[in-house]
Amino acid sequence: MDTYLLEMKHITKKYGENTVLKDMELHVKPHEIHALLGENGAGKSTLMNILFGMPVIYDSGGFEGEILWEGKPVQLDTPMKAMEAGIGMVHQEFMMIPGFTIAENIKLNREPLKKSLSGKLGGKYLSVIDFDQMGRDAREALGQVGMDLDENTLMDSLPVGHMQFVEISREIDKKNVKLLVFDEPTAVLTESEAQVLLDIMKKLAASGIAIIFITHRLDEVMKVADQVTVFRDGELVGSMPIGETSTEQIAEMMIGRKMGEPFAKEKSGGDDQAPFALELRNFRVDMPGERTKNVNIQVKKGEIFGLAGLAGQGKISIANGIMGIYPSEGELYINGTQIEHITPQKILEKGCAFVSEDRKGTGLLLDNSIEENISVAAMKVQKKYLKNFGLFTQADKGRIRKHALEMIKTLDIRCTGPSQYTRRLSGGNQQKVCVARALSLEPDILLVSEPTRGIDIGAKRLLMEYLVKLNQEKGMTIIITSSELAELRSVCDRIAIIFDGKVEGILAPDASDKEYGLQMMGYYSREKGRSVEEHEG
Amino acid sequence: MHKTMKSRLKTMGVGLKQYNVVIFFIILAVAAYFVSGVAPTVFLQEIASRFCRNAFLVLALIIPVIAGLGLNFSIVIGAMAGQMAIIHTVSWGITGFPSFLVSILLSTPLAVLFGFLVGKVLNKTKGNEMITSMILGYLANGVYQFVYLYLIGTVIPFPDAAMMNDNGVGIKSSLGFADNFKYSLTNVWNTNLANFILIAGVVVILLVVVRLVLAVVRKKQKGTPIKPSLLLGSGILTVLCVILICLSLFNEKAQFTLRFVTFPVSALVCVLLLCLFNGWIFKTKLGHDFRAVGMNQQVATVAGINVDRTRIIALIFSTVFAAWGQIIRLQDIGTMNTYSAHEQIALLAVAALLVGGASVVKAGNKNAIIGVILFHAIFAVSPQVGTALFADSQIGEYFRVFLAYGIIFVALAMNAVQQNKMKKR
Amino acid sequence: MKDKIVGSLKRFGSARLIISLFFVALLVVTFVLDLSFTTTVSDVMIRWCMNFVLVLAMVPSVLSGCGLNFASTLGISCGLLGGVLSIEFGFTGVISLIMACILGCAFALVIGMIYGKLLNYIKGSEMMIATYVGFAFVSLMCIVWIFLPITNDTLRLAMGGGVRLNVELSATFGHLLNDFLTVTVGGITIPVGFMLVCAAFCVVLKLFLNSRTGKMMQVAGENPKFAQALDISVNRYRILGTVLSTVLSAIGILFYAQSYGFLQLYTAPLKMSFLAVAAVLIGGATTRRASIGNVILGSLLFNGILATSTPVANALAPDSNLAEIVRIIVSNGIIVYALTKIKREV
Repeated sequence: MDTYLLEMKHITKKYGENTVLKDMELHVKPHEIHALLGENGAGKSTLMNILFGMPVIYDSGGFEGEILWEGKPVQLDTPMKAMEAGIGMVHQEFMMIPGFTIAENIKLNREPLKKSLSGKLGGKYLSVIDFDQMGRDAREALGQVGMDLDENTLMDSLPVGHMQFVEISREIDKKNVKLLVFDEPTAVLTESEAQVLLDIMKKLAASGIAIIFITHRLDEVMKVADQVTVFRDGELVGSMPIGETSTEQIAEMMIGRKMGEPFAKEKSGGDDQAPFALELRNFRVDMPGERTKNVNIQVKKGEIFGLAGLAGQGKISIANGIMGIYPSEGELYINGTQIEHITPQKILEKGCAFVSEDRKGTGLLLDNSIEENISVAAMKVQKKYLKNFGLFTQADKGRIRKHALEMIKTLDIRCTGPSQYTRRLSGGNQQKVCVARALSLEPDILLVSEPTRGIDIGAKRLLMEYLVKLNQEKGMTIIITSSELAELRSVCDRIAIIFDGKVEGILAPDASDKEYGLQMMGYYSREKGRSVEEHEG
Repeated sequence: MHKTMKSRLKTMGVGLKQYNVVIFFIILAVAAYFVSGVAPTVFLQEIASRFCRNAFLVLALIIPVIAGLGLNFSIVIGAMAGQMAIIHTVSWGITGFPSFLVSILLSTPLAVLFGFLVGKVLNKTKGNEMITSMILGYLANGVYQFVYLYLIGTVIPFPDAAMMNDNGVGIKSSLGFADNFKYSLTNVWNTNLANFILIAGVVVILLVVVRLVLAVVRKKQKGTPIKPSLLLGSGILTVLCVILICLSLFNEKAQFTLRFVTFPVSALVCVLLLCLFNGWIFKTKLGHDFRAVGMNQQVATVAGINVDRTRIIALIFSTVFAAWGQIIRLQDIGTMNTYSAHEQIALLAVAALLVGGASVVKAGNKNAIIGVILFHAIFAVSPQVGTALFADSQIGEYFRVFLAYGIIFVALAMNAVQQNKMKKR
Repeated sequence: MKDKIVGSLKRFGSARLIISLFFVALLVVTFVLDLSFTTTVSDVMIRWCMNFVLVLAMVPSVLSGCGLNFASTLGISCGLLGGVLSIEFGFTGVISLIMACILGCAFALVIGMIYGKLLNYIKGSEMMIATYVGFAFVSLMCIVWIFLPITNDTLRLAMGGGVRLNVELSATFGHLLNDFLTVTVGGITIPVGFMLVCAAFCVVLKLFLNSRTGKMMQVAGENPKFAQALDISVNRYRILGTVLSTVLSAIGILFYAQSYGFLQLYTAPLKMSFLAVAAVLIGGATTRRASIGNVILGSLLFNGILATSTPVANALAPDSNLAEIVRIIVSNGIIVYALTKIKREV
């Protein structure tokens, strides 16, 4: 029982000052389907990158800790070495060349070669590829996953669902493969395809291949996994056989917060009297990777409203849709008036301001000064900070400087001065600049997305405090979208959980961890969906 | 059923679209020929010699396109390596076919080195390979001029004073090879076009027969069905060859025309060898890596292919072939503008490849061969067309330059638009 | 203190440092070898002004996000056409220069707009395509020059139709700005008037960049996503930047031509954009950022090297074309260097 295939011990990984993995442990036995669970950013992908010897890890200074493979310490510092050891990966985004055939993709860089004169002279590279053999190998590997596909089909003419199976075929075609990592394999599959996949996983495990199964679907975990390991914030929460746990317990383990103190608030809850500050009806946003399908939300005046959910479920797109950055359908009401044909200009004029989750993209002009960053939105939307000379305008440097200095002081932006470029600021200070820009529009409603991502703890605290202060003193309505549930729960009045592009439920900040966990995993709507299916079936 | 019909029609449409460019230029070439009023002998002679001079250089472009480096404008650097080799070979007093061989041998290590250096720089400028390769060509031109115009005779000793400027510094700006290097390859085997058609026709028919026999054997052994397209293609080729052979043998008028066209068979053999090489390399592991890297660098990296190294190798191949191509070209021309013979190489080769229906991401032997013939047919007669239409040969010359630049612009723009569409999706 | 020096040197950039040192070395050599130092320095100043607006044209293009304008030959061709027409219409003196500028700008406006629209379709490949747009347009203009029905004798080709290869400007606007308010100090002629005109262009451009429109253009160029979130139409500002660049190029070539004394037509402008690109890069610009300061410094260094290397090269190796070789290596070397510095957007 003690023979582990893979042991990762005391793994610690830092990106700069940011610790993403702390003393992490993972033990995988042969024949085992080992589920890895955790919220986004819990450190799962970093751990897998370490396992695969990805360049990201080594370009950023390596990691601490030890990896044992079949009981022996190993150095997996390139993907090649991991592959040679027998570790395979079924990627979340398909690692396929669309212009190649299925066979060529399955055998990529492992092409069977013919013996020929040129090969003898020029080595492996000048050997001619044995395309017939390639086809046979590919067919065999496809057969193993139960796929009946023509191996000469071009990859880009294949439906998405099938690509997953080609990926798996490729991994099991590597004859020495002993461990396979499945990174959210069922995310893009239909219910029935997912079932096929789970069956294949079981079959593979039975044949002796260990499987690491990364997923957010608890029901699938309960169905196929032998062992569950739960991560949270880069630390190990627990690892146990599936028989000794339950869906509820896992959900609780994933969420369980080191509850920071809730921020002291004099009044809370917002104004119950209509009209609402912001209302969405059947709201859909077409943002790749974060689509929302049908969102209905009512945000009260003067309330702090939270949007939570796992990555990819759509929470990010709501604010982006409201601001007109991504195309949307459905109805949007601000202070009771409907906004049709949403454009950023209209929304900004209506008194909304946005701090984007994409700080370095949408959020900042990195090669520009702090003062420029702060003033530009108001200059565009409200024509502030300008001297008007009739035919032409000039930026009013004096006022821009004065306003920037004020903001630097109130938000405690650590910088050498208002003319410093934002690229040179730390993450926290960059975020403060973004907030300052939003505030220079003097908004009634402030939408903030992922405000504390990649920020040190001190700055986090200060930012959240400031948001609460704005809400309390100026009565500003604030909508926070965040992946950090604990943080939302410490400041929000109500929190909507987004799952599969819809609102799974709206919870009070002091609702139980279990409830949060189950809703984040979409437990209710999946259960409901299934019971409906069974009824109809 | 309906659906397959539709999709078949669609693929046919795509196929036609692919040949749009080619069809357009065929029409243009034919029209240009008739308007120009050039005698058929002259026209055929122009095409024959221009084809054998330039096809090798155009074929040198294919590997980098497949490897995802785009149109390799830095073949001018390869051409410089060829010219350097020629200068030194001639200065050592070597003549005739040996001078060709020595030039080839001498140019190869130079071109390998240059290709390696270009590859290194292009790996640092991923996403901007084409403009970098072009500017690198200009930059190398400066260095080349510095060495051969200034260092030769001052720092580097040079044996042949006749090739140098009168003051003993630098190589003359124009060199004639009439009694040493000229025709060193061409003269190995050239014949008139009538004979050539006879030989080539017979060879082609023999090849067709062999291919058919092989297909039949395979059908008996493995049961692979014979594709109808193979039968059709063979039929058309055979009939064409027979017609051409008959013309060259029995039609007096045609015979008269063809007899007076000399055809450099040895250069053609070199071109065909490179075609075969290009065909073969993509069946090897290396060629497969070129394709993989060209289509998706990220996936190739994850699969363990050394992307940067593969790209450098692709450029080394291209640069070496460009050097050889320039040697083949210059031995046939027989004179060399020391400091500008390479300048137009990339422009003409790239334009020819694109006229043949290639794009920035897709090119093959077929595109190169068809492109060279069409492009140079137009190029050869456009001054006469200008005279015929506007009584001004200058216009024709400007027009053909415009055509070369224009086709490159259109190909680049089409590629960029397509890329942006893909990104949006 | 040491840190400060190292820091400011770093900001100055190694490439710029080398080129500056090279320039100073050339100046010293001219002085030491007594190669008519005063004439050379006067020449440096004239060339500085002569190319100035052409280099300045790079700024709006880069700032609006279209990259270095390798197609400034479009504007150059428009300027040349304006010059030719102004002479054809019989204008002389200052009026001829002004009319040339007005006509050139009018053409540049139209061409720039069309070209800007094109650039919006091919985002991400601007530089390579710009190069070939420029090449193709110059060769197209060659045909236009031949066909242009010209009656003026200074313009017309002695035989046949079409415009001459080089149009003499002594009777119209040649050396107009060169000789405007010159001051001679210790044998060195300073073209004060020309410098003032160049300075005026800088001021106007600076005012524009500091206006709301100019600011928004820069935002659109620096970060299209950011711009989109503020409802700034990226495409429109890209067109604006391109039009400005094209118009400045048209004026730039006319300034250049008046200084040179000839309008050089046909294939002469083919690679002119490369020189302007190289100059602004030497001044410290990148493919994403350029300032008026970069133009002033770059134009001085690049043209300074060209002007000083000629007498030095002639002294070192007569008839060797060495000055031309220096130009080729410096200009293309700096462009390749800049290309390797582009960070790939993922």
